[in-house]
Amino acid sequence: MRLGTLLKKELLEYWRTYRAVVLGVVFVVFGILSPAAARYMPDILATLDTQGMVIQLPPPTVADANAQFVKNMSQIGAIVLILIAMGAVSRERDKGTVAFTLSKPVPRGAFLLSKALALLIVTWAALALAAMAHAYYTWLLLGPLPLGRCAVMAALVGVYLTALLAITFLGSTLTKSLAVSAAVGFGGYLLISLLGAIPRLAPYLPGDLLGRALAAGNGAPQMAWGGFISALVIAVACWVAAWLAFRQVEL
Amino acid sequence: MSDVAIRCEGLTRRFGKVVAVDNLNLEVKSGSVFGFLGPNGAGKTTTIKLLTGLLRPTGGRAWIAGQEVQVERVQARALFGYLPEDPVFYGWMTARELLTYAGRLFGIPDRALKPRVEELLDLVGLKPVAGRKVGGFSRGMRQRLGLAQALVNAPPVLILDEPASALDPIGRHEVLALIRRLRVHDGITIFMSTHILADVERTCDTVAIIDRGRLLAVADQEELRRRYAVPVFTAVVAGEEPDIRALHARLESLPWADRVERANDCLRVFATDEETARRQLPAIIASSPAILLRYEVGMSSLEDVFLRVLGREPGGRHASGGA
Repeated sequence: MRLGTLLKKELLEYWRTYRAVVLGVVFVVFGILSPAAARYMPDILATLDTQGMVIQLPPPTVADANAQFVKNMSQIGAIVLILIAMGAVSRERDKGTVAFTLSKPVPRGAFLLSKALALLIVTWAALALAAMAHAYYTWLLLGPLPLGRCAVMAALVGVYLTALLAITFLGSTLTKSLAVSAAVGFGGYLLISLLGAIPRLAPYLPGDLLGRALAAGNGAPQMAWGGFISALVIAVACWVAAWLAFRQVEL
Repeated sequence: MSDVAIRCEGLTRRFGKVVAVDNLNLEVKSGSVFGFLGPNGAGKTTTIKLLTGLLRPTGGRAWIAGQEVQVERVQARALFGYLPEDPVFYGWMTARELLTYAGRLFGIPDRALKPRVEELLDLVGLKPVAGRKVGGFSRGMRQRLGLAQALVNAPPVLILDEPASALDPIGRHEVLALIRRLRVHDGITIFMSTHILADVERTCDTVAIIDRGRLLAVADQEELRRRYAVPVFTAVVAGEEPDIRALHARLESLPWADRVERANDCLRVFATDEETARRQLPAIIASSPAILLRYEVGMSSLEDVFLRVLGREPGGRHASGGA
């Protein structure tokens, strides 16, 4: 019951403070821009003065749009998410509103869980909207993209983003400072990206999900569990660590 | 509820080498308005955070309405309402939404909560602005909203951290009047920290004085005065500055004068021996070239008692502490 009240408040806060709207709009815009960029890039390049140099591009395909989508979501989407998640707990600690809630009969675990759930709901809802926008505009501009394929692609990107969210959420729980929370999130993002560049490690890191996502979107799923499991392990470990840390926090 | 609303046994909190609360033993009777008095940095807010389970004690224990307070346990938190020193709320909520949210956190069913929220909005005078976002509220309005949210579960104990310190005189008057009303009509035990003595004088029946984390005195107001108040002889004089200065020096040299305060032409003599002072003082003033305009005998104020307990009387000879 307390969890329901807390979760409802969190979701309402995301809505009223426009954070959910910003996230949704950014994701949907990139969902639309991905096929648009793939479709019009050759036209744009053709208008450039290339001083006699001939740039030949193959005709744009659905696969190009999917590649743009995965790239946009895993880069710009990740940055926007980190910026939103960095204040999940630290903003309340910094402002002092956390004492308002925790001086009432509210278990700290419920408080933290409501924040994590709200963040996940908002993120996945925005991602779902982005995937729908992407599928629709891809169909409009380049040809049909089956919804199932698009959903699997977006879901795998979502698992990758969930790992980043959890890292940022942990940072937000550990400190009152928004800057430090953001640093933890971006640090995690950087570390995952850097380690993903090592060929021997790459299959076992969340970054591997992005290649799998693209393959799934293109109708050639190559499921390997390394990236999926590592993303889930990172997410669960970060949430458990956040809970353990928050139990010790004094307000 | 038992006779004791709040109990602390050896409650201690250290921050590194600093002892913010030092072995606090305290009992607050049910139905009383308990003033927790101390200068800034005395340990009042730390004590309140320990009582509300927002901080963990380094040692000792505390109970509210018979339930032990612990950071991990939520049961005791259903038994009190808490107003922090600087209440901060979700600025995007309206006052009505905030009270409803607070009530739901206490598990109050919506059917009972709705009339309770309206009743509280009425009580604190926020009904006309109940639909406005809290982010635009003044400090006084936030304080009143803070009181309302602390009362939403009709708690047996209300813990208020400096409830009126940051308010203008009108806001202060309103909040203190509300506190008195709560005590009379609802019989709530109110634990109120403050450094404003006038607030304590007007509102509290029992007073504890804390300084540097240590409890120096605890008694009801009358007993505290009986124990620590001394006779004060006030003389307003007119005359040349050197004459008044000489009279001041003469009075300070008297063995029964604990201390002598001077504000312009007003001299206040705190006497340790009332009989002797009554007999000798008029003659001493009369023998001075300064002209006596007004002469009064009274007892020292709560502020004087407070300073005396803290041992911080300006120029006091017999600074004392301990209860």
